Amino acid sequence: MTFMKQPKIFAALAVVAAFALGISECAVGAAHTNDAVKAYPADTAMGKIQQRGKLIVGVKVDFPLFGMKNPVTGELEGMDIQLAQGIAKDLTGSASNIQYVEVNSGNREVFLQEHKVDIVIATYPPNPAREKAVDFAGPYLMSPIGTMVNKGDDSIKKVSDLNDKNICVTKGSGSETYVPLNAPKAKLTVFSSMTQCMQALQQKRVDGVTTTQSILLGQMSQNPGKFQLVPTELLNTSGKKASDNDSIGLPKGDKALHDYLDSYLKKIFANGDWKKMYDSTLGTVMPGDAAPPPILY
Amino acid sequence: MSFLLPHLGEFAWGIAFTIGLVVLGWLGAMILGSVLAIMRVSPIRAARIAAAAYILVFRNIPIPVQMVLFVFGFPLLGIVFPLFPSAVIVLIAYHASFVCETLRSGLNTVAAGELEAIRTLGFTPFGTMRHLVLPQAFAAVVQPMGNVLILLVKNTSVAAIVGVAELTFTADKVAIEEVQAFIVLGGAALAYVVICIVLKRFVSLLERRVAFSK
Repeated sequence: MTFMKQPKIFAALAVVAAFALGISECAVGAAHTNDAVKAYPADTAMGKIQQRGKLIVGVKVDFPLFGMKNPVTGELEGMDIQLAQGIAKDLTGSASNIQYVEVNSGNREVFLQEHKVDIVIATYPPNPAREKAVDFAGPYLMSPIGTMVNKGDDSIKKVSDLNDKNICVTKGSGSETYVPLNAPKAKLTVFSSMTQCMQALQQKRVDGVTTTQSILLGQMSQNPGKFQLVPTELLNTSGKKASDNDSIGLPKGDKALHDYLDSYLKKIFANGDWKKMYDSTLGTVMPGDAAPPPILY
Repeated sequence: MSFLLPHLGEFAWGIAFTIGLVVLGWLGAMILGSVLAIMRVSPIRAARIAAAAYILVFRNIPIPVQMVLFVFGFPLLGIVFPLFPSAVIVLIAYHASFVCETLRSGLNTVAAGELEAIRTLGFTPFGTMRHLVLPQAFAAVVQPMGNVLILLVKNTSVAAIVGVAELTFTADKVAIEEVQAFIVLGGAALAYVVICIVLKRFVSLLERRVAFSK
């Protein structure tokens, strides 16, 4: 019986495959006729992405409002994801021509250096060591640094209150440098992920979590009513107000790609697409109206 | 390599923490493991079952899982230990099961006739263990026990998951800060190899000495 059935299944599969191919042919055809897509020379990174037909981008999957896997739909959501989709649409004609690669704070540079990804959009602010290894375009978001405490805890109100407190930061974050600089007597607990810091705060193992305000607001939106934000304004090594300038990471020395990304950011800053991305993600929790940041890199 | 210079102090602390975890973890695991092994061969049924249940649980759950459960799960029950003691406790709990099983194979090498002989001389069960059984059992399993020790050295790196600033944690942190993953983690790998070689040397020396004393 089984070998009688099999040809039928194959036939059915063949029909389905033919349909699928036909449909994807159409989609590609549509992309080519779409005159909004500008063709780039084949030897540039943009040209290679267009030939491949999809953008490969490194993102985080555990950062609410930036890059977060929706537990219900399994889809990635957030500002970083929308930005990546915007770039995919700009280069290939469709926001779905995209392949996500999960990265973390420790391996972003390696992914770029080995060309495993085209770009990295993963709450990725430049610092001197990183700038030696990769290039940055942007920023697309600037956010001051804040501290999150348990709701009803009034013991931390300003930067100097961090002294003698147990403060959780994530490994490799700017806050890991800024907190000891601003509050030398603060006790640092360093975990590798934000999730662990949040858990430590809930369990009162630490008194506060210090990082970029937008990240903290994202975490608070996941756990409503449990935490409150204290705007501890930390200073950086040069005595200026510290902020995390989330930027797009790209392989070192690729000037054409860098210029393209900056021009793309300028375009969406001007035409309102950036505002749409912001309002649907971070804008839902950040107070006040937001303006696009200046292009610094 | 000059980027490493400002981090040398951190690395020294990292190695110190790793050695601290090894020393405390090993002492605890040897004591708890010996007690468990004695329980497993004891004539009391409840003790045998308790020890077997302990080994069933702690030997079969991966140590990273135990570490995370202990540090982030137990606080839900109101039990909160600081991070370093937590890591030591988990290392002891996990490796005690291996120490126990290794030692038990040594206990089985003691001939039944010897046990009968020492009984007729009027030794208590405790005295029998202390003067006859345990010395022979330990002498028989020096090399396998050395393997458990090396397992422990490598497993101390699991403490990095819960923020204990030992060697792996420090290396990972410096690698992120300096964006030099290969050199920094390669250096950490070398440090682990050196620690293990030194310990292996001690184990071999010890084995030769017990071989002569037999």
